Amino acid sequence: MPASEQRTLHRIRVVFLHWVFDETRPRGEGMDGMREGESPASGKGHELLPEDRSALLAFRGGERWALAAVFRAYVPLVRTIVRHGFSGFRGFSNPADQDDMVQTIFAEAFDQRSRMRYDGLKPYSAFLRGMAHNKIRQRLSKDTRFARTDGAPEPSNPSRQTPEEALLEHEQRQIMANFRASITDPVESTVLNQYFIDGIAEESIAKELGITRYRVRKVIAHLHQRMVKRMRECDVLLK
Amino acid sequence: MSSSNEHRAANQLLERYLDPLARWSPKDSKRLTALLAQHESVRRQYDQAIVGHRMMLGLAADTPSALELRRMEAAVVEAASAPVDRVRPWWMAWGSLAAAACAIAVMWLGGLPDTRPSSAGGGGGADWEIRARGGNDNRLPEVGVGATGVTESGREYEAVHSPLFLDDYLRLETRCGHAPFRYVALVGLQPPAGTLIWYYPAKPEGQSVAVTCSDKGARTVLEDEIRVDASHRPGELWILAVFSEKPLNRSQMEAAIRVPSDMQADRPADLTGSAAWRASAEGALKRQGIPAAVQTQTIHIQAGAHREP
Repeated sequence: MPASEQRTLHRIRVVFLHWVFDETRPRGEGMDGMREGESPASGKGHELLPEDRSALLAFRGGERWALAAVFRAYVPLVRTIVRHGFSGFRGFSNPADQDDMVQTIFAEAFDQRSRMRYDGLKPYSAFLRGMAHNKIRQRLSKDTRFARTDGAPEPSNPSRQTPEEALLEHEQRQIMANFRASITDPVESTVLNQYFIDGIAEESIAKELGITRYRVRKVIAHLHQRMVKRMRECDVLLK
Repeated sequence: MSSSNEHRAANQLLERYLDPLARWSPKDSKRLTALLAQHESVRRQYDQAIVGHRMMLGLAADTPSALELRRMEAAVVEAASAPVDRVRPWWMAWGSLAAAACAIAVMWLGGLPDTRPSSAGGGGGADWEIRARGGNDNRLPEVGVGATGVTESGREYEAVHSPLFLDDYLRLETRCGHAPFRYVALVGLQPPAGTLIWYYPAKPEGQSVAVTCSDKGARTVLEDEIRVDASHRPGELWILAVFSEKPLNRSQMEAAIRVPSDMQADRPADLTGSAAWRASAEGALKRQGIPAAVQTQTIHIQAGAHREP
């Protein structure tokens, strides 16, 4: 990989990790109160596009590494818009809508015509924000994508309930919340935090723990199995 | 599709979505999106699973984990990246199938080894030659070395009969069917004039590593994954494995293993390539009085990264 690409990816990783750490803070202490204009996507003033010309060219050409770099750099901005809304729209409340909207916006942004439409002069965050607003407006006005065909009732969403309370029974929440405490092995605990939450690469985790990458993957697989088992016990996944 | 079928389909997809070691393709993403779009009950199923998973990680209900973000990134980026990255001609797909079939048929480990039988007897010390069982040299050898390619995302692929990619990782494995020879040293060489690449022992002060042996030929995965581009280049790679009764240190190995330009004296005149390299090492070990079995494996390194199906 050329040195310029490596430098770009390194910079993105730093910004991404910075954001991930912020995201994992309890509500109110991290990103949740952030205004749109303060998106960490810009890395406190830094914009991947158009500042990094090699990334810009590769992005326009649809190169995978550049698309990945742009996704990582700007997903915090898009998630903020989707969760917190804009101009009277209060944001999507449930994960299915949020996750789908984030992917829909990026799919649109990564379409060849959209990539070519970006002039490469203005900050990409402004361009992406405009596109996100349009996409959300379209969704809200059409509302056909979520047309209900199975006769299920409208979901009740009492305003005083947290999403956890709205979705899961008290006992289920208890069991889920206790999972982290059940991980007492220091290696497993580190892998859980660094891999599943912080998004740190297996290789870096292996280096820090002084074990092989293969062993890290074994731990990841083991943790995943335990999580799936617990989710089945709680009827969150089918048995 | 009945409602329960939809739930089962969604459940399968959700399990894969949350499995960090499973591949998540744009096609999977599309299927899940379609189910979510059509069925409110599936959306609730999704929300429960995702929120439950986030709670287990100690995250807020509306905060996706790094794993989820990787999934979203994979689906979006893969669907949008340049077509040349994704589209393979039909003959390549058939070629991959044929290669996979060959790989299964031949067996990866010890498959297509250098077929020259070890030279018998002679030299100093005991008759330590490893031969195929029953003296039939056409059968699989009792020791062997295999190679697996591992992608950045952790997917594994066979790297003996198909190329190993420069941007991936190399993991070595051994097969040992001769109990006394339970230590192995592994060295690589890229002809024609490469330098030695030390896998085991990796450090000058290191020794060969213990492996499992059994009459049926036990397999040992050596867990280190070696970043290929750190010490290799595209082209042929010979891997030489020295199985011994006692651990060998680096100086013993260095005395036995020559680079091609330096091994003329040790090898029989009729041998070339990795077979000559192996013969050279066997001869040198014999002269040192070290009982050992030597095996080589040839793999091909190609630029780029393994393209996941």
